[in-house]
Amino acid sequence: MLRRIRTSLLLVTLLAGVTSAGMGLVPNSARAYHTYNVRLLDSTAYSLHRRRVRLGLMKLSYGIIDQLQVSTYTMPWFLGAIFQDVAPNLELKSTFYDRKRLALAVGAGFLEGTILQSDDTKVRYFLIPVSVAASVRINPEVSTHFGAMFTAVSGDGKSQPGGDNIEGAVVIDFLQLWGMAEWRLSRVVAFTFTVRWVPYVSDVLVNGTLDADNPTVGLQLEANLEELRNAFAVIPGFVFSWDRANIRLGVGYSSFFVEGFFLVVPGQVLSNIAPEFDVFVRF
Amino acid sequence: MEFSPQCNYRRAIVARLFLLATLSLLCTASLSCDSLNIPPAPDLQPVLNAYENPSAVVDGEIMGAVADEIAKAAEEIEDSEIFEEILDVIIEVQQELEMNTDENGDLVLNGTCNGGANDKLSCADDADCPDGTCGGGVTFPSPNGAVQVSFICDGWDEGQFDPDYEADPANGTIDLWMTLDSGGIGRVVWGTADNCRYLVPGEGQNFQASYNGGVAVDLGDPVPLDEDIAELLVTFVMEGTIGFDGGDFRINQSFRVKLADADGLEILVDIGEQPLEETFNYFFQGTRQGLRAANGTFGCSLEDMECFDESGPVFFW
Repeated sequence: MLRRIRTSLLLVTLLAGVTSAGMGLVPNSARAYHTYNVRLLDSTAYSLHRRRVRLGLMKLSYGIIDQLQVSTYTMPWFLGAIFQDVAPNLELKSTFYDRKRLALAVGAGFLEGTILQSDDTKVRYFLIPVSVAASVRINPEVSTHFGAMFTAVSGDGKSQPGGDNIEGAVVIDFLQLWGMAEWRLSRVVAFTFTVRWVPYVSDVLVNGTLDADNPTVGLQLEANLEELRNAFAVIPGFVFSWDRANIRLGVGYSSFFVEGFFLVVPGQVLSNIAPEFDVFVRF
Repeated sequence: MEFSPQCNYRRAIVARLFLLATLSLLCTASLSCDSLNIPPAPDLQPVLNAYENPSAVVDGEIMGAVADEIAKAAEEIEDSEIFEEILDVIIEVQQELEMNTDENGDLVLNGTCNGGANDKLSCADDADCPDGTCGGGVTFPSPNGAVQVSFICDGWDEGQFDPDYEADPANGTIDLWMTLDSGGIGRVVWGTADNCRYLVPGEGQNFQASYNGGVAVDLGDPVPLDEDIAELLVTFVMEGTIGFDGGDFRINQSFRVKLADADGLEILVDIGEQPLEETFNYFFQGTRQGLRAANGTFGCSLEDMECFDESGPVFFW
């Protein structure tokens, strides 16, 4: 156990170190500021160009080729480490069309992790987000971005011997739509207004067994996630882009769309506060 | 290293194709298992309608043809107590579900007591954990779904009355499906018994009984977890072989019982050419017997081979 904690901490430290190093040692050719070539990457159809890097508090990305970017979200690594196991995750995003005023992108990824509960129950989860996005440059200052993300969540749990068991499939599918308007007030400041909406959430499907010897009782449960259906967030924010650092900051209303976990926390859980925050460098 | 524009273009095309293929694969995988996998429940409504609306006009000739079958079926059903064996399984599952249900009616799986007298034991809410708290579970609010039950029958071993007795799968099984409807048990339970052997306690001795075949049960209404199933009028449809005390009896029969009413039994007698085309109900209630048919309700005696009403005998056979 100690060894695993040490390994987890080492990984987290390594990640933090790489991020800090990136932020502190940005070369002179660092490309920031809001320019024609440097576009917002989050909630847009744009991706990093070849050999470009984005190191952020929330996300690390690298441009493999001009049309293909690979990213990993940091929160699942950090939070995973806190809850015993890091959560590997990877996301590929391809801006397969970028001509004139229109850009189109598709993305897919995975997130896998384990939560160890207080009763030694292990809950494993696996998420596959698949997304499409479109960006339209209305004029040099104003852009609009639209997208849809379908996330399939499956998981299983392993309980202590003799206890109830939740295993096999825990399945939730949900669809998230978003729209974002971006207004570049200066080459440093861009105002963003983002609307996110969940028009569809499947019921939760769970296979489990009750702690009973004879008869054995297997369960296939279908629980309703009505409270997540039509969850939404309206988030005004700003993206500041300097020579070295970038900050994305926003506070909105209603549900919290958790970056990196591709999930939605109902508004009432966080008093209807929907935050958006990231600090990153691009070079 | 520099790449030509053509080379870059090819790489972009390959990347796009790879991505689209991956996306298709992931979409297919993610959509592949998002529905409950439950076999369809049998439709018992025609049987229930037959009980409510007997269609056969019964006379002495008809009773003469079916009286022995009625007597034999009633004897086998009552002696073998197969209905009790199956209802006991349903009641045990109901109790298991109730133990895992909290005060709000939500199903809690994996709940564990933290501290107190029941430390580390399973729980559904704090009430199950004196001086401790219940936590760590996964809660399903008003769950819908299905319950798959597999019961290993107790067999004919007299040792089964010991608390430490463990049933041997060689004794056969009862495998049932139930549905969960807002946390309660759905009205239809169905499944099979695979050479299920069990003992029927008698006066001074236990009788060896068995059942091999299909069974469908209608509980009348969806049953909340705290409702006493023994008090419900339960409709059975059974097709299989009842074994009792060395003999076998082929049954393809619907009947109704109330577990709390040990002397009550109602049999659906089907006399038409097509199933459920012409039916009437023959009932036993303690020492009383009778039938309900399209031409009225009569008291009957299989022993005296007559049916009667308040004015006296109506028909004989």
